[in-house]
Amino acid sequence: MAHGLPDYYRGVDIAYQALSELINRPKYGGCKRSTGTMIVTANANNTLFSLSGKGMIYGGLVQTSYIASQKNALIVFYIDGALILNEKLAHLNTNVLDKPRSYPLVLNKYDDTNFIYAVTFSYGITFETSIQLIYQENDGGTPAVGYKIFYALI
Amino acid sequence: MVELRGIIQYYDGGHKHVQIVVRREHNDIYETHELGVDMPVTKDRILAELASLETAGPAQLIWPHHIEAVDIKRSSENDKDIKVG
Repeated sequence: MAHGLPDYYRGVDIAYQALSELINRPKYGGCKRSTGTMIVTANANNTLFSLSGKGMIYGGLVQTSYIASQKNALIVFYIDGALILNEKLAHLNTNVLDKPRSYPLVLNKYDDTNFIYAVTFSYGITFETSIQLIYQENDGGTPAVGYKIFYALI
Repeated sequence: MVELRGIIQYYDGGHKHVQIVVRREHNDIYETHELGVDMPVTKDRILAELASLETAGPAQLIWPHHIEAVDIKRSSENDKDIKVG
């Protein structure tokens, strides 16, 4: 420190270049995980998870295994009250949206013969007020839908 | 001082679980507290829980403006307002 005081006695003046280097990073709380399984209601929006707070999503998973097709199911994500994702499983498959971090929602498994489906969320989705994760059942079935979501609150 | 940092509601095993995340004074570690299952989420209920966590004298509770106590429903029948994007 050039002026005789430790760094913490004065504000950082970027223009003055009082410090040769400024390290900055977002302050996050620790990683949290919410997980569960729901036997969803047929032909309805099923809320799996809801959070009110501010933070960032690290990743997550929605998966289902059933005795009949769920190809018309929608994975729905509201961020800060706005509809951000509403993707039909069949559309994810048709458009080959299966590359990690290329899209907020990534298709990992689409087996419409054995009726196994899995999607994951990309890293780094931020939210200022809320998240809501919904499974919209559109095939008239009642599968057990499992999910995990990893996130931090700040 | 107890500061609310988040309200979490999720379904597992046929029940809605409710948690709150809080921070105490001079402590950056966030604490998660289970409030119960299948309970309605209201501001009064959350405030009562926050007050019970304050152990150092009169309750000093901080509720940031971006956090809302909104109760979620398990499913909304025949609600097709969400269309394929």
